[in-house]
Amino acid sequence: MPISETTRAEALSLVDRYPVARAALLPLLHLVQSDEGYVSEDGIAFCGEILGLTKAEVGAVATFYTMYKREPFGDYLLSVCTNPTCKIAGGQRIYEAYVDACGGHVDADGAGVMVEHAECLAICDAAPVVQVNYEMYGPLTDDEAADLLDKAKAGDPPASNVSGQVPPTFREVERELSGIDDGVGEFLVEAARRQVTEYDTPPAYRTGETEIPVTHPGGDVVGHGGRAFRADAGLETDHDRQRREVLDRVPDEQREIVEDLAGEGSSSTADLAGSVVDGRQAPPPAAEQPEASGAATPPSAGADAAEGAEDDPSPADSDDDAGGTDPEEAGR
Amino acid sequence: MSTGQVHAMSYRYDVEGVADIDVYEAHDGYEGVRIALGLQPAEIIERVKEAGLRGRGGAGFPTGMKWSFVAQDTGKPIYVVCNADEGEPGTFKDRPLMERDPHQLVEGMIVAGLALNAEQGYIYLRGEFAAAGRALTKAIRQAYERGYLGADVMGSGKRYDLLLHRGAGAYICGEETALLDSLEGRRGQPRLRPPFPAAKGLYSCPTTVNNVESIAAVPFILRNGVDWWRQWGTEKSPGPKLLGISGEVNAPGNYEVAMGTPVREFVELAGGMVDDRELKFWFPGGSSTPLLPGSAADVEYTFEAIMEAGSLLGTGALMFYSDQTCVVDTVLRFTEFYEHESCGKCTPCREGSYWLSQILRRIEVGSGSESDLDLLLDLCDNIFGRVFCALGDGMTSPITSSLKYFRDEYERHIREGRCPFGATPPRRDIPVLEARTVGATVAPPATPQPLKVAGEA
Repeated sequence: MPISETTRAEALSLVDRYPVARAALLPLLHLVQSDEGYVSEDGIAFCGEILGLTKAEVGAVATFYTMYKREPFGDYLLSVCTNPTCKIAGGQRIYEAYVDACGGHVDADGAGVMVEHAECLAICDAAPVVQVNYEMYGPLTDDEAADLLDKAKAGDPPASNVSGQVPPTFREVERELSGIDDGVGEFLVEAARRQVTEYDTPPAYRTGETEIPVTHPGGDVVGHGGRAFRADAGLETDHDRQRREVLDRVPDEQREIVEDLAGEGSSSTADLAGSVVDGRQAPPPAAEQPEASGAATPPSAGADAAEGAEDDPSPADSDDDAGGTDPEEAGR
Repeated sequence: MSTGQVHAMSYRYDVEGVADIDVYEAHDGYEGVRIALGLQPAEIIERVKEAGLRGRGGAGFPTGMKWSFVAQDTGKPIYVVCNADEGEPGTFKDRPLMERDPHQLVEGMIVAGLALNAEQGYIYLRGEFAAAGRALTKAIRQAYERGYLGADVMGSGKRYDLLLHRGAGAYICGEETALLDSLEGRRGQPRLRPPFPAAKGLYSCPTTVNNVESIAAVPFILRNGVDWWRQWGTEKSPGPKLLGISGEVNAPGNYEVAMGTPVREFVELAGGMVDDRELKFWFPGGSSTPLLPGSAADVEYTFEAIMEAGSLLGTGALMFYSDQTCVVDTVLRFTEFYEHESCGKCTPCREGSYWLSQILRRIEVGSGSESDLDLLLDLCDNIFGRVFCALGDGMTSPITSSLKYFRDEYERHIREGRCPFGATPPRRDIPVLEARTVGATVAPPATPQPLKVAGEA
């Protein structure tokens, strides 16, 4: 399903609220759901396009969180808590009755519903609890629960006995969750702009990177998307920078050896920095670990070189969304 | 030291319309910000330290000390992040606070920002809390309109902005470093520490992550004083505490009590056990805290006393279960919770949670063997302390503690070949794959065909 132009404009305005573009990904996915009713492949591609991420990176996030639905179902999502307190009170029975009544987890008839089992919904005093589009109902008898499902299917759910509010449709609640209508966007855009421009060191794009020039708000071609793209733009890449920094710190008498290792002018500019990283003994999958690292360095590069590589977005970077060891190298 | 129910941080809960800024202001609202503006940042932190406020999100780390670790003068922005991803099973204290008195959190966030020289705060709200999101959205908008937020907080020349960020459904994002990764637009997976968020947190900048209740407590401490806060509780666990009391009690609900109150009183506060049942076991602070037997109900509710009793105070989520409830079934369901919520980053948690569930299910349905109990403990031993974050450690708590106190009940399941309580385990959503024999999927022709090779005659 193609994403509407309105959504595109709104997506860009959401991105502007954060000093680092990618931080807008969760709100963006909520926004996509408000447009499409679920997150389609097109929706994934759209977020990737807005943020300069690959579809794999966005998909990895979209599938991690339970609130992003990957199939269309209609207007009402019923989440039944089945944790022990609710289970004892009848939550499990309600859930199983729902699945039986819908012949599965999705029933597209009428308004269209999806049934899911939820983990603790933080309202254990009302056990057993069912949420309709994140509006709480409880405690429910089996009959009340069945009635709630019927009314949701008919597109006419009652007001929540907890909040007193009638649940909006799934698309409407997802729009709320995106934050697009929070009404304070202009302040947040200005705040993000200041964080990027008014400090000695701006917020970093990637976990562990502290020296990256982050160019935000708006589409950030430098901080995103991989080496080739940035090289085309005539900008120094992360890897170029790391390589330069590493080389700068190598003692003169070792420089020749190191440059040989690095393969001057080769396409894999990250090789040297990469080899420094690889030389670390069993790097734990950490986001960043200057303090913890630097123990094992390649003999040719020396201790100083290792220091220069500390900011490297190493394979151990928690940014493993791309599926490869190095997000910059994967799939390019 | 007074004990029992109090109305300290919850005293505005029942004020009509307090979610609106006019009513809130009429009830001492934003007084904490006014006071904080008259103090040096270090003085605010000092008062929080003197009050002895301990983090209300589960770990109980002293909030003032945590704030003093936040690196100042790094040339980077400093971030205050509120962990409003309340999801620990049994916990429901933050959601009511945000729904009923949302300005309280907004005010706390501003004070925290002033204490830390931060210009930006984030509230990471659990996505499923639609109503709380609406209340906070309105509160933040009103706070901007009144000049409590924005470029010039109450004419002080100081800037503070507050962004409400909704999560998308992942328990792990309640872990502070996973929360930060999630807030950065990634899968919510915990980070290795060090570096700690105080040095390199959100966007690699100095950051503090605090629970809703911890942040909301600070304006109270500034306004009413350290002695007011310390009139409740003990030296090491002072103050009032918001609780979620649930399980088989007559009046489950959201209560505020003085620290140090005996747990027995909580059951009485909640109207006693349903149908006059006997208390068999209870969780002091969520499913990640080891369960305790009914006989431990006289313990005082403080960090130190609960720890001495062999558990943890956790999030203040008390779940009471009776002699009619099967321990194994309860533990199984909690273990399935962890299996569902494991982020998959580290092996002991990802694989361990799966196998723990399988074994517990086998025992619960009566197909277990005596050796399964040692297998459970062995698995737990290989998870606890060998995982990235507290989720993995937490999943072992219900298992090891239940085996400690109720091993006989496990053995009964095995001996009798069924659940003595007649509990039925949850139906699996995912069908178990049937093993297939190796072979062709299509039947081969009756007569074998000789192989012909290209180029050969």
